[in-house]
Amino acid sequence: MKNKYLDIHPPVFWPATILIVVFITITLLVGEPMEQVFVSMKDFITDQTGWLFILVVNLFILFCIYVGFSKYGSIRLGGKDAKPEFSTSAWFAMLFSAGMGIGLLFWGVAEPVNHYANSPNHENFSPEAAQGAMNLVFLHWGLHAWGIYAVVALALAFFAYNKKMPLTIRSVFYPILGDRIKGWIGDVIDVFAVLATLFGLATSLGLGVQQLSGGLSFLFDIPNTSTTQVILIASITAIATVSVVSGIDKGVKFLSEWNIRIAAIFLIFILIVGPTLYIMRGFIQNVGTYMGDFIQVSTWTEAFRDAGWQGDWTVFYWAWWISWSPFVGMFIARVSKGRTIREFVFGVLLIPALLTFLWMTAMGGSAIYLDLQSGTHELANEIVSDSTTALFVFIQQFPFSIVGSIISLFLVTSFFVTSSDSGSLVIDNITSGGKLDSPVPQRIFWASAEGAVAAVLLVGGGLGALQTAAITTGLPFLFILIFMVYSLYKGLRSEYLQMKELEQVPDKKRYEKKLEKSLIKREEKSKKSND
Amino acid sequence: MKNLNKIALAADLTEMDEKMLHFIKGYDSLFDFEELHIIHQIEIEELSEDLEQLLQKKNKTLEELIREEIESTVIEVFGSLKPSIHIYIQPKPDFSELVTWINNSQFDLFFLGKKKSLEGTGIFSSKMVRLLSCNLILVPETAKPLISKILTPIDFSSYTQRVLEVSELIAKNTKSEFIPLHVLKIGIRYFPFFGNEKKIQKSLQKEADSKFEKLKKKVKIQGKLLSIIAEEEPIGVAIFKKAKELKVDLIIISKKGKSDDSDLLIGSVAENLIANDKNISVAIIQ
Repeated sequence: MKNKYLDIHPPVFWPATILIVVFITITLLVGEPMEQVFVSMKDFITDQTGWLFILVVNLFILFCIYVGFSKYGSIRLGGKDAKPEFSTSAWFAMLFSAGMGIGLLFWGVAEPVNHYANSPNHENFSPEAAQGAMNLVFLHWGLHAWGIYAVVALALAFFAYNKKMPLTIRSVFYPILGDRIKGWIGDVIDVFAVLATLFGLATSLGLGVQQLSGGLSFLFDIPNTSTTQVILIASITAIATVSVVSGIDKGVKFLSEWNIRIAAIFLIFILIVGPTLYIMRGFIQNVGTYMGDFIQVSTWTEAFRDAGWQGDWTVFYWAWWISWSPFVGMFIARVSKGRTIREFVFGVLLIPALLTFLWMTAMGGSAIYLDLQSGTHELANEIVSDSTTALFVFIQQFPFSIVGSIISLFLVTSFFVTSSDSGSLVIDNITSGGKLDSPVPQRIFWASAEGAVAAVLLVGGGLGALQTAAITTGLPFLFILIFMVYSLYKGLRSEYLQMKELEQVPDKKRYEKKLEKSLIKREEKSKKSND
Repeated sequence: MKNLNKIALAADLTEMDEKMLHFIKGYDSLFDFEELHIIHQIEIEELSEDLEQLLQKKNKTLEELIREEIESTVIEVFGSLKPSIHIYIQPKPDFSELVTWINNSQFDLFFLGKKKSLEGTGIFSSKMVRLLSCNLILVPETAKPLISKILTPIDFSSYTQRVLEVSELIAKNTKSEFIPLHVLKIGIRYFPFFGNEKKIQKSLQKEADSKFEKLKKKVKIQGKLLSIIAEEEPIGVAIFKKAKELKVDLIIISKKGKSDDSDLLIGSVAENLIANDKNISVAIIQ
């Protein structure tokens, strides 16, 4: 099916589209009571399967470390002669930008302060709670998040570059399913990948819009209502659409480059006007504490004291990262050709995590520090009371706060746009069966679909609905990821054996002799017959 | 299963090439191949003095000279250069490129010579068997281009159906007898029942027979399953012994068996059967 408007793989495109339309319709028709449905769904999944998420995400990290350190680490993505397309520093920058999303702006201040004010394991507002809060934030945004991305990205890159298969999720299952990946099983896998990406993205977009709308009302008294939010979604989606239509080389690239620059400027702004000394000391101490407590904090499951804290945070994050993973994974895969698996694993795990730690220390860490200094906890209470305005309340503590606020409003908007446009490209890629340049109307369709899902989720139940969306699509994809790890392992094993087989150098001397013998013999023969 | 149309031969520029071409010519009268590709890889980048001199004298490149050499062998065997015969010379000693090229060419059958007395260590053949994704046949120098009896060892793994299909096709074309063989091996898991070996054998045989009946319907073949017992010896050795006893001239086997996981590029039984000291042609089906 190829024409000017559509170039799709129908068995993936249509089921995914129909499921999304059904979801939107039901949410709109049911209206108010839907909120309750979302909440009970989320509670059920996190209560029953939270332990599974925690177990599996830890296994992903172990797997990454295993392939990084083992003999498989020497396999090069793209074959032994492949050269990296980007310099190492550019590669690091791109890795970081892949994971830098609206989430860091939304939760950067709100999350650490939340854990500090409602600590799951220390006295609220105590210095212990402060350290514990940073520990939890590092857990949620650190190695585990990047471990999930690394697994998906490595699998995608390996099968695309070393096995020369289309860059889509189903290719990864070739060692298990063989040619069946071209059949209905492959279609089902891709449909799940599309849904996970779309809902993961919608969660981000929903958070971004809430923050924008919160920020506008905080700064300029514009009413913070669902109507404002829907209008914001519509207008920003329109900008994203323009960027998507202009193509990956123009709009998308331009925006994401500027995004990272502005984010860097913003971080430097906070480093300068904020408590600089604290940030430097805190960064070192927080990283150290995180490393020291790593095993304990990453295997904590609220087993003896089930207060339901983890379902809202840790499990939500794991599910959210998992539903984001096809999106981020595909991006990382595209920029990582030519790296060895060892370079890849440590690059993807460590570099972005360290930068995220600096960001979190500068934002949330500073907010906690200021609150501890003040002794009144007014700041913490104000931040906790509304996560959407947390960033703006925080910026107000510093000089030039109006400049900072406007930069951050701008950042949220541009992150929204880049997430939306690159997300549509990824979904487009999957629903067209791995093609990289699909017709423009199709891209517009997916960009609008993301906006629509985000809007419907917000109207149908606010933040709870967004979290439910991420968790419910994350769960089936969790199982897909478990198989993905197994499949990748099988693929790496056979690749390694083939690599070893190819490394055996043929006996050149013997070949040379053979060649001489046969060619010279023939020469003599023909001479004789001529004589 | 479609017919075998597009076949290939790895030429090594020794006397073996002529033998292999005669062999293929014999097969050709049975199968009527559509295309034959003769493939050679130049394994060196720098030439010895003698070769340099020869090239200068002839004013030709090494590639051209090798092509001529292969062409003359083809003419010797087939009488002329038929348009259905193509020669491909891989100019660089880049083995992975050669493998990719062959795998992309999708040959129905790839012929490899197996030397015992002629010079050659068989590294090339052993690499090819491991890395190619098409069906291969390894032909020992002593083989005659005629088939009257085929032995097909099966283990009821996921590969078995395909092996039976190919065997049936070859048997039909060559009007030869085709014997499916199953090797019973009493594994360590039956340890507690050691006193009762006969009984276990019987039940294993019964199980194999009923599985084979089902397969017969699926693949639409005739015949009866032959079962043997491998006591202490490896399965490959047991199969080879039986093949000798039955005076078989072709063994058809899958690249991997039931118990071979992806730690191996080729299964242990197939590995055993293609070893240098075994002088029966072996077809390896993927």
